Amino acid sequence: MAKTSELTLDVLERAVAGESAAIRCVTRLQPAGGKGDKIFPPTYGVDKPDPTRYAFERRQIDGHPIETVLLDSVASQANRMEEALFAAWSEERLSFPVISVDFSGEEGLADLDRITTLHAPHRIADALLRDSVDGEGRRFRDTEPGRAYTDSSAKNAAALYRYCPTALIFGVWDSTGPRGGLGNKIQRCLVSEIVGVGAVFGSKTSSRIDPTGIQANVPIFHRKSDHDDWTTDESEAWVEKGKAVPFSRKGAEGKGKPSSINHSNIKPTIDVTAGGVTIDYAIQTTVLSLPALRRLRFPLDEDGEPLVGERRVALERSARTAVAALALAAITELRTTGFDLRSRSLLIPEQAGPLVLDLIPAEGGEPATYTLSSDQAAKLVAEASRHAGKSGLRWEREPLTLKPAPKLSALIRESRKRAAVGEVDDTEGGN
Amino acid sequence: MYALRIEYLTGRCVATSYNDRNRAEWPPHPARVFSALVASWADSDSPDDERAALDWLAEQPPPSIVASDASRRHVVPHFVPVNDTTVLSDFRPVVRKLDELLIAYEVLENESLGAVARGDQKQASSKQRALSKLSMQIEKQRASLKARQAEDLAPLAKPSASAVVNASRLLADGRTRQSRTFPSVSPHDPVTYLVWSALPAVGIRKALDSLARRVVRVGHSSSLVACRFVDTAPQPTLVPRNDGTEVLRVAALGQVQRLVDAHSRHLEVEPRVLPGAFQRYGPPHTRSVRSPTASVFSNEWIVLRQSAGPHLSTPLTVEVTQALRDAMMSHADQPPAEVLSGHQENGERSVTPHMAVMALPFVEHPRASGTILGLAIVPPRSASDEQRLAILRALGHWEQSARDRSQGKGDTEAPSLQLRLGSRGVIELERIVWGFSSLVNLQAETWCRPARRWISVTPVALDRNPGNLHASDPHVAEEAWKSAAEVIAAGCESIGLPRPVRVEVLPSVTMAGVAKARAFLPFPADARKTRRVKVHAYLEFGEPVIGPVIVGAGRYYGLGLFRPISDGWAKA
Repeated sequence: MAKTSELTLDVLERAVAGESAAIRCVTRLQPAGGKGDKIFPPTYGVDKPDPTRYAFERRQIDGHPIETVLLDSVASQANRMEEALFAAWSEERLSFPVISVDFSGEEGLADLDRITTLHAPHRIADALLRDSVDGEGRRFRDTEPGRAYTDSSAKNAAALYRYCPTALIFGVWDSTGPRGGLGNKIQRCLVSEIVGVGAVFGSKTSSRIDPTGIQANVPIFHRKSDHDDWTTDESEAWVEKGKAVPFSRKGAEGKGKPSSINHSNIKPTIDVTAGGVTIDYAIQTTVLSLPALRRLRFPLDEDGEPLVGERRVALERSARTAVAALALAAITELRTTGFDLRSRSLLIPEQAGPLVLDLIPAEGGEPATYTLSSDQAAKLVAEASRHAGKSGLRWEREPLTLKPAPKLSALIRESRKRAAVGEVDDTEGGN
Repeated sequence: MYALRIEYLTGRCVATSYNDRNRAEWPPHPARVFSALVASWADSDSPDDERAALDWLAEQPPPSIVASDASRRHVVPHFVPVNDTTVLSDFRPVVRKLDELLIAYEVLENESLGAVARGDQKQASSKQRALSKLSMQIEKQRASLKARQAEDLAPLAKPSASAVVNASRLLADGRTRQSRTFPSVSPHDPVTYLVWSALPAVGIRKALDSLARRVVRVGHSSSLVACRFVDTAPQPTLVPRNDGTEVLRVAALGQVQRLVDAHSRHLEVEPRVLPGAFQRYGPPHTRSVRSPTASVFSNEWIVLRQSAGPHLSTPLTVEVTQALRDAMMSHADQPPAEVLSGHQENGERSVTPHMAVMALPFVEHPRASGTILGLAIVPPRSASDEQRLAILRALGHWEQSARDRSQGKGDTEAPSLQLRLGSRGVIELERIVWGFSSLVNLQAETWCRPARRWISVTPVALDRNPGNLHASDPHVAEEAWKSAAEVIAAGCESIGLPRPVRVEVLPSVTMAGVAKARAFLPFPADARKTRRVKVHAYLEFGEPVIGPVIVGAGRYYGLGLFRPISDGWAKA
């Protein structure tokens, strides 16, 4: 059998230019603990009664009904890919524009470090960026990149390409920007999902043995001197109507009992609605849509000059290829960081070796197969972006770093202060 | 033939049913696919040749469909972080005012130059004075805005609790989440086809194919596809047929323009329902099947949704429908046509079917309240163009006077119509313009689809007195029940349906939201006329019939309205 060759920039460029309809990779995975080991899919709150809180589906595979369960959703996979890209970026294995809000210089908030467009839920359109300022104290949307972003769209994607190309991969909607609901909406072009096949639902037990051995029937009261504190001594208890008031904390069970202060033993329960599953195998399906990339238009170069004819065709081709390369890097980097989905749900590829990609031809027919390693993906990203730069559109090399508005930092500090004292009620305030 | 091949690249189709947000749509409705093609066209520079190709496609009869079965994923709520939290103020209104001043300045400047050019010294000096004044005003506003913006960024001296909460919510961990569902299926075969029998001209072929290849998704943004037009396709699994049991949305003549108009209204903000026409589909049969019989009433209704006013329940049906009929009559060209009034020129009752008005209630759903959601104007199935026009003109006049009253404010396509109901108050109605409502009970299909079994939602007003249904003598009572059943059976025949094989008169109804017969107001309302006995009933026909099924003396007022129930439906 002929050895599968590695993807080159030339092949990628032709695929993006129109030869292919999509690039797809399908990877089979197994639990790290070995085939048949129990893993835990994501749970979703559902109306009772419901047999399970997992998102299951009974499929037909080779004519037989097989139970499948969602192990990692499209949104969750997108978040993981962004995290993987961030890791590669901060370790300097990949270089691409990133905008961050830097909390490291803010008093008391240094632990928040840098929140980048790869972390913020709505990427470059996120509220956090909106409430941040540049080095001269200007709000992000009033800065040049901010204004350029506000005015951008799929038909004029240069600003996004220059400052936040990952938004072109994962999609972004500026629903609360200056243009409100009219704000630009970029369709995602990368979709990935992990599904477990042949799922058998199990049950989970939970119980706790209290190491301090506090008995369940010791009464606990509110302390007289501080109602938020507790005591077992009736003489120190807060008394109301001649009786000591049993301790209770909002949301905790067992008024007046040690379990209300998180002590004592909890009776074992068996949770059959979210008790984990065993699977035959898991399958990760990732698709990069090339029509979505081809929808991105670049009518102006980085100087704002209109492009026509051959120059425009060349620039659009190379810019789209650079975005495609970055998307493929997201896939390889995710594979590198691994599939540690959640507690007790670590998956590993069944086959060792680099990622295998299928290029699905636009004209139909058998897909062409290539491999792609992380290193090769990084090379493609560097080459493609250089190419686009020569055609007239460069990535911003200097990461754009914003700072939180002073008002915001002060408020977050205040919020932490109040939370420590127990004042902040998270259920109050507007939605 | 010419077929569109659609391959679901991820192996999933994520698309929400048009009338149920918790259900996935499968197979893909032709209207949805058509919208995806139109989106491709709109996302480019909207070339004319592609527009012509789309118009051609919309003109074609609905396509056949090749689609395998699909497995449905258990629908769960996903929590999506919001993006509307902020601690800073919105200065857009102030900026806009400043922009207006700048525009005013430009205009004034031009006028000043004009005056100078004309040699009009007096005007020129006057304009100059106004310009300096405006210039100072602009500078002042600018400085003020700058100061306010700077102040807005500064920490608050006494932060309020809500400001603190908002700040903590800006961080990803604290962000509020909204529940959304993403119903999806995995088709057993990810390749589907829509097949048209026509052969387009070369130019149209080229344009359609180019559009198809640019389609990114059919459904949600994660429902990625690869499309292209081909010359062959496998045998269809669903074909358009009038007795089909599946109803799919399809594109209709003028669909592109409707989509363009709708888009300028909603601008891609969810939720939205796309315009389209209904088409019944069913499996292809080699033998010809006799079309099921339909009642004398049309299933092409004008539906008016209640948009404001007190909630009314079904026992008030006749009061509401009478009021609507009166309103239609008063706005019609005078004297009102027979199809509206139900009376001939000589004053005698009509012998042919005329317009019926029905109240459409919220029923059948487990939490159904029995509230009237809207009204339907139902023409006779055999109505001539002239008769239909009379109905439309009456409604048109009414809408025009409503438009005039509101002086252009509010929705001018379907303005709010007021219906006075005496001491009960006033309700407001709005005509449903785009094809259908998202409310199941306001869709004609819900009441008209072919079925063998039907159950009454409003009681039948019996044409003849059946006897004492509640006689203490069981024999007398039994005779009365039998007689009532006979009257109802004959009533079905008189609306053009075959005689039912079974009629069961029911003391009450067990469909959620349906009120007991005795809860309904006496019919007719006029105490001088003979009051009719009202009963609920269950009907079973030998073969499926097409609705609407409205039976009895009150049928033109919505009494005796039946609901089709499927073979698997069990009484609660």
